Amino acid sequence: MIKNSNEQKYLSYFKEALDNSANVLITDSKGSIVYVNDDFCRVSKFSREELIGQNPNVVNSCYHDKIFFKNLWDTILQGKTWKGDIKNKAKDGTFYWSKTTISPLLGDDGTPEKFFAILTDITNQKILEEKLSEALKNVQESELQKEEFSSMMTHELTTPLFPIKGYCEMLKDTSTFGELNEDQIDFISKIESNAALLERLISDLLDVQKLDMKKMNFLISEFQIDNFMNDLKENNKHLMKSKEIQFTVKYPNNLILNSDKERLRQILDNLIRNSVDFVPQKVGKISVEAKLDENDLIISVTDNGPGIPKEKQSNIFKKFYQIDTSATRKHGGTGLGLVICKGIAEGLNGRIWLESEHGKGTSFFIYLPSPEKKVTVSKLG
Amino acid sequence: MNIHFPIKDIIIFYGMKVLIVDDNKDITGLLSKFLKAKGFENVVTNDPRDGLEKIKGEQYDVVLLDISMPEFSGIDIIQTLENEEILKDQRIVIFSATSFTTNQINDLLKKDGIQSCLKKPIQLNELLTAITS
Repeated sequence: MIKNSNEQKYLSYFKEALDNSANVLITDSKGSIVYVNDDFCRVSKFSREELIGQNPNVVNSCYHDKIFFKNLWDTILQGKTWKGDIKNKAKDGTFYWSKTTISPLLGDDGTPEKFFAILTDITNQKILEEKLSEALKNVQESELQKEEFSSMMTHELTTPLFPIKGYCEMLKDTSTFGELNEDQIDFISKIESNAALLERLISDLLDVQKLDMKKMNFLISEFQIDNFMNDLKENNKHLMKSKEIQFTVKYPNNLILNSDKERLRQILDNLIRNSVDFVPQKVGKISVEAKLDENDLIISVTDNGPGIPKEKQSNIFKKFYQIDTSATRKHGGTGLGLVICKGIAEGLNGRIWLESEHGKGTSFFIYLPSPEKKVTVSKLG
Repeated sequence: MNIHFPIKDIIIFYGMKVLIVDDNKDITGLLSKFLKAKGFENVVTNDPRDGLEKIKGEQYDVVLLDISMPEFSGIDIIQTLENEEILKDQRIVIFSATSFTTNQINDLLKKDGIQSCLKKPIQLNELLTAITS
């Protein structure tokens, strides 16, 4: 009897603990409610009298389909426990979610005599999940809109450049379209150089957007550094001559790189253009040097420009950052060039950094890792 | 303007018939003036559906085809020609301001009848090379 009394006491504690932490519903084998605790009544907003004798369908929200409930019944009728989240409807028409466990109480013949349902209110969690899912959908839609905008922008901004550049090209084709005087040739070259600038700005904006969306494609192939550096020197010859800049290019011979040639060229062109913009007229010096550091490659672009003040160096790879933002600033640009350089360098599994002292020039370094780190650098022969 | 037509160019391209399909009138104007000066015979349309009918109705030496056009794109034209099994009989030079991925370009170039894929703004001389190569 003492033992029995202790069991009764423990059972009463368990019941109290359960009643304080969950909604409890018990049905008979036919599914008629025979017991509900206070919490179930509170959440469902039905009184105990209204619930007893009813089918649990009284709180059915019609959110779940027939298959959902068929699975539930199939499980518990086989004497197994069913677990899942159910959206229910309270008496006042409001909905609530319950994490539900339904266990059958089996009789001596192994068939269920009663069904115990333990429900935990998870409405707030579900609301948060729905909000999160909605937010995620919005983000995905916004990403898609961004992509569509980017594609539209490419088309709309680039299209007018074609007739501008094309008519200039036709006007310069004097053997077909007639001679021009010196002024006219000068005007056309000004239109062309401005169109080229506009084209570069559009391309920069689009590249930044691609980097933001992590949609920049890299085309990795093998190429010889000799040819690459010679082309670089040749392509910049005219630019250097116009400002009388001493331009040197150094590189190890017979080296094969496995990287994205065009994107690497884009980084170097950007850095070189920046240097050209900042070095002094006539005494300006720019050097591009590629060096092997064990198996890794480091390419530097060094100039004897005014240098970058220490306090401004940490911001230089940030979007739209300009060292001089005053109305009287001497140097143009969108502040996107170095952002793109950084994005490309990182896209090639490398990195970019700078060393500079105010008044003593600047060196930018691009590090491209060795083959094991994906970008191959190998000696010929 | 005093326009000269270099005899050598006209002789090379004389009689070549080019169809230009682009919804942008400034672009078709530029191309038709340029190609005419180089001795080509041009047919121009700014309506992509009309472009498709023209391709189906007559054999052109080259079709210059824009991709992004309202309602019926250059891709729709290519798809229709492919479905009707007459794409392989064409020489189409695609030129578009839309940025294509390398894979998209390769997929287009795999199709018989697509000769090259150029990105606007292109140099006119590049276009000439693409048409005549």
